[in-house]
Amino acid sequence: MNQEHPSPARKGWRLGLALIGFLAIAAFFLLSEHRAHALGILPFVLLLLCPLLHLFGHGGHDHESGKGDRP
Amino acid sequence: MNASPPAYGLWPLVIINSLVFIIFAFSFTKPRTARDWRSFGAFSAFIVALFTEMYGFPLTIYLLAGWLQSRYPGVDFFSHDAGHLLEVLFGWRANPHFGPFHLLSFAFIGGGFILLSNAWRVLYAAQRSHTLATTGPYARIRHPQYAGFVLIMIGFLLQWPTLVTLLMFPVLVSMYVRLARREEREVAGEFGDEYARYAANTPAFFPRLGGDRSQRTNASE
Repeated sequence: MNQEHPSPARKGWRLGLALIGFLAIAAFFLLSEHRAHALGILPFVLLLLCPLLHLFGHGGHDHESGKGDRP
Repeated sequence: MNASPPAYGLWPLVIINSLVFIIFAFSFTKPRTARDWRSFGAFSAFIVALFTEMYGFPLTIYLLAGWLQSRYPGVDFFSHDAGHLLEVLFGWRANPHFGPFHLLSFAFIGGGFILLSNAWRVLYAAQRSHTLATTGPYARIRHPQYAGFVLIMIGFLLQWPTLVTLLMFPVLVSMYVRLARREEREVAGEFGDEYARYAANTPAFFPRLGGDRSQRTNASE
């Protein structure tokens, strides 16, 4: 799990992109809320995107390796 | 707008919205310790309570229906738009999603998540190198993650106030303050003088506006 760590710059870039993705999805849900249930599959697709963004933002599988005491 | 579909009882929307915001928060806090899980869990409970009222069962509207209908007789309080209570109460007549409180809520919620994300980035690097996180948001306040959670909750209260979330809010804030205090004691134990110096120059929750960070004493709480 620990072999490959993205460089800090690369990691920051990915985190930033994931943040933007999340914010866009959140904005969609908060703005289209009362009509969203008529949109069929789209909300579910966006929901599925969230864990993908999560993994992408934290650089694949290396995110379990950090240890520390502060949240 | 057009002939209104049912505004409540939309349980799939309750679930999807809750999950999106909970995954979002999880992504940028990564709870590990029991304390992390408590703060993350409390935030999640707030989110679930909020979206349950927003799309599932409008408890607040039911409880206040008599008073609301008598004061605002023309409003259909069981429509989604009217659930943006602050917009209704302050007389905003257009689409509430572009009303002042809704826009303000976007600033708070977006700002809160950006703060969480930036704090996570710094904290993650600090944890890996076993150093104290003092840069980025940590240069302005000592507890940016708790502050981020609180900002997001304030945003949702502005957007969609409910009795349950209004009651939860002070409870969660006091819980975060207590968790932050406990965390400080632990980090002080680990980093000693370095943390004492950091804490003396950096407010806990409210950043100083503009001032030189070393000149004033810690007057933040």
